[in-house]
This record gives sequence, C-alpha cells and structure tokens, in this order.
Amino acid sequence: MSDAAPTAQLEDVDVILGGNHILHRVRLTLPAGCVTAVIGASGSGKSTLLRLLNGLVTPQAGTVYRHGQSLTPERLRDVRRDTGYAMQQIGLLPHLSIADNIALPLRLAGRDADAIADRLTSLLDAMQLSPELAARYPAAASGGQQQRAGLARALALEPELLLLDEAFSGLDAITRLATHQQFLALRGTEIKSALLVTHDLDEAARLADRLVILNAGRIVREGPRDDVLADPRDPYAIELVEAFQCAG
Amino acid sequence: MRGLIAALVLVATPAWAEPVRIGSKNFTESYLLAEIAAQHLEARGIEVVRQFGLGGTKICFDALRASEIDLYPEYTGTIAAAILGDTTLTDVTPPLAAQGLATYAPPGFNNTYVLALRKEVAESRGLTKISDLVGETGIDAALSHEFRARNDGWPALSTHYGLTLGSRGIEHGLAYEALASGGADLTDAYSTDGELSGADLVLLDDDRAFFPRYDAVWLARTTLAPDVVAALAELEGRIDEATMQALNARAALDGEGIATVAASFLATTGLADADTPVPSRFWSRLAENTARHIQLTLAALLLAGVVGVSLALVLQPFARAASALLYVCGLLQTIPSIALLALMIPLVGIGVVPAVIALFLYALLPIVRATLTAINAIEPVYLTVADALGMTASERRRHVLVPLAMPHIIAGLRTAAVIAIGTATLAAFIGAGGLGQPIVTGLALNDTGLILEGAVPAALLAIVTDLVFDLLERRLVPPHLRSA
Repeated sequence: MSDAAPTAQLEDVDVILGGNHILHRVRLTLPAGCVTAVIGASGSGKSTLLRLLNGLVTPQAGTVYRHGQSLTPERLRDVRRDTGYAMQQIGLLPHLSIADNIALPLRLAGRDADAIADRLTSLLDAMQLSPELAARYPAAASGGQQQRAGLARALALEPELLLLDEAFSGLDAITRLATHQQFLALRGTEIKSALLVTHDLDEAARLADRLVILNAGRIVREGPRDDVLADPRDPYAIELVEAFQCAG
Repeated sequence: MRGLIAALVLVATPAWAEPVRIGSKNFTESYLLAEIAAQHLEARGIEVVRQFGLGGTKICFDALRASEIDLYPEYTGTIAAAILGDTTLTDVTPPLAAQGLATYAPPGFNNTYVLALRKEVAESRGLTKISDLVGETGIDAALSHEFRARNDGWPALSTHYGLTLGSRGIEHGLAYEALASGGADLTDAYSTDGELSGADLVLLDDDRAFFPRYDAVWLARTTLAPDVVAALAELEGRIDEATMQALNARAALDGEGIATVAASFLATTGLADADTPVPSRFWSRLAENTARHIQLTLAALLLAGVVGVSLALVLQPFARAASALLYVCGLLQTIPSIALLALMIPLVGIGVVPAVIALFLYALLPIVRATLTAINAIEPVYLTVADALGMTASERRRHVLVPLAMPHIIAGLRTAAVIAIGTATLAAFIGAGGLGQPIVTGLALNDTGLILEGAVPAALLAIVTDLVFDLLERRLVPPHLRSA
C-alpha cells in the first residue's frame, strides 16, 4: 500500500488566520490506503490542517498536494468532489430528507436517477439506515442516525480521501462505539484513505493506522500507530500517551 | 422592462372580444355623459368597458392617444386651448386627425366657463358683467386649479379684460360650498353645473367675448367601429344646456346614481324603453375591477419577486452593494404613492404599465430585505457543507441559500402583496382601473356606497392573499422550518 503515490501531502505549510499563526511549517504525507489520525488539544490547529486538504483553508506559505499535484483554485471543484467531508455539526440540510441529503452529491455530479437510486440503497445499507428513516427530515432523526447520514453523504461519490473533523465527538459513548465499529467495517471498501481529527487518543488508536500529534500548530510526533504509542519522544506526546494508558 | 410588464399583464388577461373602452374625467357631467354613452352602446349590443374618473384633461387625452381608451366626452374649447394649445383654432379636425383622433356627434350643448359671483356682493357693488370687475378690489376669487393654469383660463382672461384682481386655488367641488358659506366671493364654474340652478349666485356676462365655445363632443380614436359611430350619432343634439344642467343637478345635488340618471334620460329620449329598470351592473363591475386589481398586483409581485430575490442573492456576498441596494429600495418606499404614480406619466404614459412599475418598486423593499436578512442568518455550517461538496455559486444558491431563506422570502412576498393590494387602489387615478375605480368615483360623486364597493373587496382580497400565502408556505417549506 505504501508503494502507491500518496493521497495527499503538505509541504512546509504555514496558515495565519485573523492574525493568529495557526500552523507552523507543517510537513505531512498521507499514504494511500491509510487512515491517519491527527490528535491535539483544541486550538492546536488540527481542524485547520484537515481543511487544507479540501481547500476550505488556503495556506499563506507552503504547498498542498493532492494526487501529486498542487491544489490550485481551478482544481478545487474536482478535488472537493473526490474528498468526503464529515464534521461534528454534521450539517445535513434541514429542508431535504435524509435520503435527499445523501443523494445531493450524486445529483450535483449529474448522475442519472437509476444510478442515484442504486448508490443510495447501498449507502443506506452500509450505514444501517432504514429506508423509512431515510424518508424523514434530519430533525426527526437521532444524533447517531444523523452522523451516519452525514458519513453516507461524505462517501456518496466514493472519494479517494475521507476527512472526518471530530465527526464522532457529539455522540454518546454507546452510539460512538457502534459508529467506530461501522467505520472499521467499511475500511477497504467504502473507506479508502482517511484523515480524522480528534482530541481523543483512544478514538485515534482504535481507528487509525498512523498518528500525528499536533501541539500549538506544530507536528511534534508522527508515525505508525504502534511506534508512536510505544515511543512518543516529544514531551507533549509523552504526556498525552501516558494519560491515555492510565485511562485504558 | 415595459415589454416584460406588458407580457406579464397579457398572460394574466383573459381573451375577450374587443370591447369599447369609454373614459371620463372626474367630475359629475363627464361621468354622466360617459355613462349615457355606455348604456346606449350596451343597448345597441356593443360591449363597453368603463374607464371613468381619470384625473383630468391631460390624463384623459394621454390615455386616448396611448389607446388605453377609445373615446371620452370633451369640449371643443378645451381641445383647442388646453390640448392643442391654440385658442384661435376654429377647426380642430386637421390637428386631431394627425394624431389618429376625431370628434363625433356633439350631444348639443355648450358648457362654457362662467364666472359666478355671490349675489350679495354683486348687488351691493352693482356688478353684472365681467368688465365691471375692472378696478374692483377686495373680491375674494377662489378658482379651480385647472382654470388658474389653463391657456384659456384666468391669466388670459385678466389680460383680456385688464383685471387686477388676485386669486387663490380651490377644488372645484368645494367652490360652491365656499361661496354659499361666504368663504369666497367669486369662482369659475361650468355653465351647465347643477349647482348654478338653485344658488344665490350671479353669472357675470362675458361682455367682451373672451370664452370660446365649449361644445360637448365625443373625442375618439378614428379606429372606432362603424356601429359605435352610428350609435353615438343617435345621441347627437339630444341634450341642450337646460337638460344637462338638470341632469347634473339630479346627480350632484339629489344624490341619484349616475347610472339611474343616465337611464332615465335615455328613456325620455325614446332611445331606451322607459319601463326598463336600470340594469344593475354591480356584479360584472365588481368582477371586472377585482380581476384587474389581481392582475396589477400579481404582475407587480411576480416581477418584484424575481428581481428582488435575484438582486439580493447576487449582491449579498458584497456587503456594501447589499446595503446600497437596501438603501435604494428604502428610498423608493418613501416616495408618496400618488406622487410616484404621477411621476410615471411622463415616462411611460398612463394605465396599467406605469401602475405595475410603481407597485413593483414598492414591493421591492420587503422582498429584498427579507431575502438579505434570511441569507445572512443562515448557519455557517451549511455554507461550509456547500463548499465542501464543491458547489458552484449557482448550485449553492439553488440547493442551499434559496431553500433555507424560503420561509423569510415568503414572508417578504406576503408583506409586499398586502402593500401592493392597498397601493393598487390608487392606480385608478392614472387609469389603471382595479378596485380603486369605484373608490375614486365615489370620492368624486360623494357616494359612500361606491367607495365601499372598492374598499370592501380590496380588504377581502388582502385576507384571501394571506390565506394563499399560507398554502404556498405549506407547499414550499417543510413543517419544522415554517415561520409561525
């Protein structure tokens, strides 16, 4: 898997938002087929890092590469359609049924009605959402159901890269665990490469192959999950891993 | 713009056979003559549309020239002086023909201007003719606005006789009351005015022949159908000055309805069966006025909806442009509606088009404001979703902005609709018809029944409109997103 061209790369990226230096000289490679987790405290810049990859944030310095090419404004639309994006607030459009929300990316991509219906069926199936539920408006679904619907929408166009921005943080512990299991079950089929951002090392360790630890806008430790957990090296990373092991 | 409005109006217009559109000015005699013609044409099987109560000579003539009406009662002296601007004209036919117009079938009376003086003042000062006024001072002359401004009016009369008397303006309908109560001494009057018959007034003799003849005629488009011309010819010479004065008195003083007076006159001439009761046109008139009212407001609202929502959507991302747009719409709202309607006349003439434009301009503010407010209030997460899904600007408007703003846009449209229904009643002043028509006529004839005939349906229309918007909201907005 690691032989293939990387899904995305950040090269010496600096981001300054509203006068605040959010990310400093960030270098990161997302190998194809891997799930990478970015862990850090709130305000560490982890969501900003994630949003660089679908162009929701533009760097002040450095380069973002997708498919080996730098991310230019002209490529933005294509890259975004090849990037699933799910977040804590979910953002299902309230005037559309859950099914229509999930089908929206397919409609925008100009798929015909039959193709949309087929894809919708398999997405609902994969996310364990019933057709009856899918006919409802998001307001009539539970938080977990909404989050699964948001994930289904993110995966609708079979994107090369899935971005999850604290996507599971708003869920209660039981629902969260169930959603984690579903995520793992979809790896290799629906989910190809993924970058997930979380403040929870437990979640990161359960879902990701690789860990990236971010502290105050700088990557302080990065590597395969087991390596990082066994040898955190950086003082902040050591503290984080120790806290995780105590809790575990 | 004008073409688009015309198209919108056409879409909303049911296809009828071409009826004859009869206009009138907004004073009793003009209403009466027009109604007499209308009833007579109807008796001859010709369908007519009554466009009565147009606000003055200029508006009537503009309407005729713009083919908004086919004919209206006018006076030869007025045609020469006020319309063609030449008091010395003896034959008005060639200049009218050049504009596709002609006069037809004089009904038979001369309604000239007269100066009416309070009898008390006339007797104490020994005044019987206009030349007696030379050198007189201390006589309070309250003259109609039109008379003070016309070529053949007060300024020329003063020059002709060498008068030095000052004057002030007054509504013609109020002048008789002012004279009767001693609030004024002298006024201009029409020689056939019903009020002249009973009042304590002396009509001053035009001893130096200033006033031309004001023979009543039908001023019409030359495209008038032969059967209409033939029917008008049957009325020729039927009404002398005494008859007209008596008819005016019945309508203005005795409070008999215009339609009743016209019908009884036609019966005395033998042109209509005396036993025929006055046909009540109440329901057809109501339907006609209501249909026109809906047409005006609907066209303006559709236009304002499309233009207002589009402008708001396009300019919303640019804060300065958006606030400039709001400012302009707000400014338009501050122009008094009657002034806005009047301002339209030199630009687009009279009738439906200027009325729709004015209503459109008033409808913009609530729609633009609602749309801008709603879009600015959309939760940022939905905009992030739109970006993350790679939506183009137009996809974003279609799938995110408009649907999320829809409850507010409908509320804005609802406000605009209610304003338009109210304002559209004023459109009758510029000949656009609608439910303002009976209101304007009722005001001119002091007829409360007529005023209610416009005001009540207009109020009902506003209520029905509100219900229609409820249904619209139910169709377009899912239950959990509705405003109330």
